[in-house]
Amino acid sequence: MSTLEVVDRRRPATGSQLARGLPGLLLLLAVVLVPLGRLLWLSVTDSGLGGSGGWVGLDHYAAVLGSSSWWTTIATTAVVTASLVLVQLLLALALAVALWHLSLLWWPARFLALVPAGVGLVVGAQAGRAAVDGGFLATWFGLGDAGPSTVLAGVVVGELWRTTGLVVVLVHVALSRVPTPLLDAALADGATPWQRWWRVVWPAVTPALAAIVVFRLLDSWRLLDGPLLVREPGSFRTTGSALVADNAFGAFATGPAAAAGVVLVLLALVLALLTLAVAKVVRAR
Amino acid sequence: MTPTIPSVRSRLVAALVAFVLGFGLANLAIFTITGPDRVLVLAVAGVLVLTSAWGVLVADSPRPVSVWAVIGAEAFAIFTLVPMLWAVALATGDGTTPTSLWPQAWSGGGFADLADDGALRSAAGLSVSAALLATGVAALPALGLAALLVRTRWRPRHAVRTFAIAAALLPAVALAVGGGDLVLRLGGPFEDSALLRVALVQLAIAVPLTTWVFTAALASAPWNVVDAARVVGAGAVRVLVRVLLPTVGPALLVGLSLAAVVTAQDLALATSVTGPQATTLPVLLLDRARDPSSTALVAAAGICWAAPVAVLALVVPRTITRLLGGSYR
Repeated sequence: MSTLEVVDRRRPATGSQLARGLPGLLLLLAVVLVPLGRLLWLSVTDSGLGGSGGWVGLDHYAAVLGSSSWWTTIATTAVVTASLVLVQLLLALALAVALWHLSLLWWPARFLALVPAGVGLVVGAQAGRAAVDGGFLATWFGLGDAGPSTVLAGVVVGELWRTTGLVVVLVHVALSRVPTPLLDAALADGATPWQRWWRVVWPAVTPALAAIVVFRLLDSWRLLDGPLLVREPGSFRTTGSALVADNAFGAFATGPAAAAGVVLVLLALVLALLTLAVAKVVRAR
Repeated sequence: MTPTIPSVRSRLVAALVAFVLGFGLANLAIFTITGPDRVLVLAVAGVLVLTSAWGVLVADSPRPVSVWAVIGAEAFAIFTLVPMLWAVALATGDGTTPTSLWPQAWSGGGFADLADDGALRSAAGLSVSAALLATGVAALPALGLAALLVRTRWRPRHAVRTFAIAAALLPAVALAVGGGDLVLRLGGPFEDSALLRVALVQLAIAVPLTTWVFTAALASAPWNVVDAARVVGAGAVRVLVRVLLPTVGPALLVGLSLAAVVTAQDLALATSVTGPQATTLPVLLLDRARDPSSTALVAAAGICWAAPVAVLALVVPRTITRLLGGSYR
């Protein structure tokens, strides 16, 4: 047998294995599909405070999709998501590569990287907001009265701090899986550091990076706590999740909120599929 | 990775970059920053300038050390420690937003208020209990499903794993609108117990997440050893006790703990089924964080809330890394 042959030791599922897996599968489907089904139903009925509960068809969808404030919010969400993920990925890549070279520092670095993830989302957002709204960053750079955009940027910085460590760990794991013999062979062949990076390391870590980007995109897309914390009444400088939450649990306009929720989920799916398609193209090249 | 000797040019360029950064920070500290923060920023600038000098000294040496990597490690330390210091400054302040990064008051600030705040304690209790209940309910079924996905050639295994991951990453607010509405209509014990309502609605996070982490944990199990044990006549219990528990038991436990931590941090689902009389910690903290006078209390609660993750990261860092690494394979 060649050493490059991949052996799949999995066997066809036996009856007892299926029986052990079935409760989990049913539970998984139930806890996800039942709320989503209810969401769909609410989106086509006149539900919520003062509503009759009757069928309204696609009226809520028409109202959501025709609303300029909704699209302003989605644009804000897209900007927040894209900037957060891009900055985070570049930062995490640079920091993880540095720590990959200094393996002795990995143990304390990993601890420092993981701890911020335990700080609650609200607390990370509050720390970010406070830093730019009267806090040390405002004092250092003379920011003065922080407007809604500055405050939202502060919340995004708080989220960046909270989650970048986790991405550093994920990227470091991907880097440590690059086969050492390949790196040694490239070194023996006289490849420069850039050649080793682009021809050996990059192709090996691209699939992992694609997965990490999808995770982070979807996680940032649903950003809720921080935007809820800083949202001012009437302002649409917020995220889609915060707008849905405001409508559903603040104004009790369940029907329109449900329709907006369905659109938000569909947009998340489109985002994930687009990212995976782009990753496939990058990988193929 | 195999250590390599960077070129002299690379080290000198890195030293130059460290010097420029240090010089810029020192200027920022001298001309715009006042108070104790000035000393702090000057210290960071000093470290960068020293790194630059060291980079010049080792530029031509055969030591396999990258000056770029050292600058990166310093940047990492600044990036993680500065916000932590800021959180401590917020937590130890007098309630209002401090204007400097270096903590001005060490009076206990929000930590002292935490002990006296009954609402916060009961909210934390509800969060922890509901998350433990939801992950506890999810654990066994998820383990069976994860074993099916990892161990067999069951045809829809890829689709099911993708579904679990997608469900864990769905906008929780969408699940909250639908799930919360259903849970609030349930009568019986759910009507009176906030714990049951929160745990039930949080299953929407706990089940996909637990399935995901268990799949990652079981993927690294020594299945060839399990097969060998079976061949030499070991029964299911003996395989479980002698092989599976010692090898994947810790990973499963850590995975379950992480799933519980993430579930406890949920805001959207809990908001949909709780009210002012009984609520979870994230919901209460959001409410308090809107009040500027509660800044210290919220920051102190956040620091305490991070304790379980800090303990896990200290005690089982490798298991966490393996689980995170296995999560996207």
